[in-house]
Amino acid sequence: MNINTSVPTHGVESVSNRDAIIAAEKLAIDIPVYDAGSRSLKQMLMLKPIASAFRGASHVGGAIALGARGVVVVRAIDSMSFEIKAGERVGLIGHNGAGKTTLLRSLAGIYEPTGGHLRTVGRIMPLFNLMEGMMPDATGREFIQIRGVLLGLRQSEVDALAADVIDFCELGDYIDMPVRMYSTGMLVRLAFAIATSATSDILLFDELIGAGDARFMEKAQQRLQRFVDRSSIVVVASHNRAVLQQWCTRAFLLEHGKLLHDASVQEVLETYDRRRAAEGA
Amino acid sequence: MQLAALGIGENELEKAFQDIWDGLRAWQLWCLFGLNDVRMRYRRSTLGPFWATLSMGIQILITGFVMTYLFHTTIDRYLPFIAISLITWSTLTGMVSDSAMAFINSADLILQVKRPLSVYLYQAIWRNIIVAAHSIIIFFVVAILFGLFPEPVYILVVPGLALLVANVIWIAGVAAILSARFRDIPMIVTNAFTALFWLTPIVYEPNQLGGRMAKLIMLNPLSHIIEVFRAPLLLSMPTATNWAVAVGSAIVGWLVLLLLFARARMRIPYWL
Repeated sequence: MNINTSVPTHGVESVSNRDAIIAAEKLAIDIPVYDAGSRSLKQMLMLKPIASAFRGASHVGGAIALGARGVVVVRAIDSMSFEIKAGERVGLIGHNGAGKTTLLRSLAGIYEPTGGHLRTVGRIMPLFNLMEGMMPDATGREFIQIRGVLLGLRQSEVDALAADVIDFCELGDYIDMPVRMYSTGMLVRLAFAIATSATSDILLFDELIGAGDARFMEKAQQRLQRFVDRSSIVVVASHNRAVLQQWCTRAFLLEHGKLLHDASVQEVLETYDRRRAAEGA
Repeated sequence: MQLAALGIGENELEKAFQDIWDGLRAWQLWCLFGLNDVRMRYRRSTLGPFWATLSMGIQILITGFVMTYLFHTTIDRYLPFIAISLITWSTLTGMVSDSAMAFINSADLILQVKRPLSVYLYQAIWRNIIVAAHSIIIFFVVAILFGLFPEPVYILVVPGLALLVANVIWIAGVAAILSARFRDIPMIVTNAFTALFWLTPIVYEPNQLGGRMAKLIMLNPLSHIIEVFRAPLLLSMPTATNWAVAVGSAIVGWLVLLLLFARARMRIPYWL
């Protein structure tokens, strides 16, 4: 595995909204796979000339290769270059396994590049799993506290957050009950309310949640809109066309870890449909 | 030193230090998480973390009575010794084997948000410190019962504890990093400590072994690392060798930890 890492000047401090930026140059993410199955995978790769004849048979995942010292490596992101400027809302489109989640994790700074460069400026808020830090025996109030600290807030900010969240969730006395007593809808409300109460420059979403009753969804929509409006850059991976069309100003089509098409949402969706139709035929 | 030869990229050592420092600054996070871990574990139990105290107390009493008889020693001499020995040992092994799972168990959190990785190690250590603070009470009760009142030598407990903690942290850190990559390590760690229990003067004092066996046991650095903390509490002086080995292993260990962390830091999320 080639570890040729640039120094990711990673966004921690909040910046003026106009200065937020994400710039990737030949970004590559290689994920080593150490699981037991790799031996049989290795044998498969020995037969690569044969396997390559069947290329295209698999729609999912990045290219699989043998890295240094015989470790199986998945090239999840393959030489991507792009620049996202302040004010842009980018939707990621692609099959399962096309590299959407890996790209988001890389933008969040969790996976540091194994090749190329990535520069982000601005405070980043990844919202991949709204239930992060959830412990079933914790009460709703404790969960707010945990999430607040996870988001790096001061105690005074956490208190303000608690008041805001309790008001929005309409959970009433349930806020002092252990969260394992909550219905799924209540849980989503709580997690959603907490996630959308902080402010940041760069927002990263991996699929938006959709649970709760209709009245709540409407309320949630407004809150989400305000939340998105407050941040400067939004990158969202979604299979939901309505979400992409409503929110995004630009879209990336990902396939096998490559950035295939970078254009307006409408154009990219058309390309995506064309390619799917071609595959189906 | 050629860092590249060790597979450490440029700036990686710097970033490792930054991670350790940023992790310390996020103390609110790991203090709360460590505390929550303890709370969650004992939630709805009446005794709470004092369950650990109680089971430790029973273990100390039983070992104390059996060994007093076996070693032909007196209970007033042996019980304080076995109390502090068992408490120290179980805290040490608890910290290391818990830390071995620090990154693995926090995989969800690590793959969620960019945070200093050291946070998860501090969390595991802190949670064990909280439990240890409940158990150490037993020692002081026993010590007072058998008339071991603090004397000036108690001052040495401070550097002794510092050295003990410094050593435990590097062992825990190395275990955490290696375990993320090689999933057999947690099991190896647990088994190694079971074996080391008898190869470290915990239930016996080295002079009770006598002769060559005593010398052999003192080749185990853990013997010295524990002694610098334990001896002052039992109102005796650690030897110069004890101090030297404890300081030496702390320095070497931390060097190993830093280099390993510099090499592995960016890869850890990929291993989870």
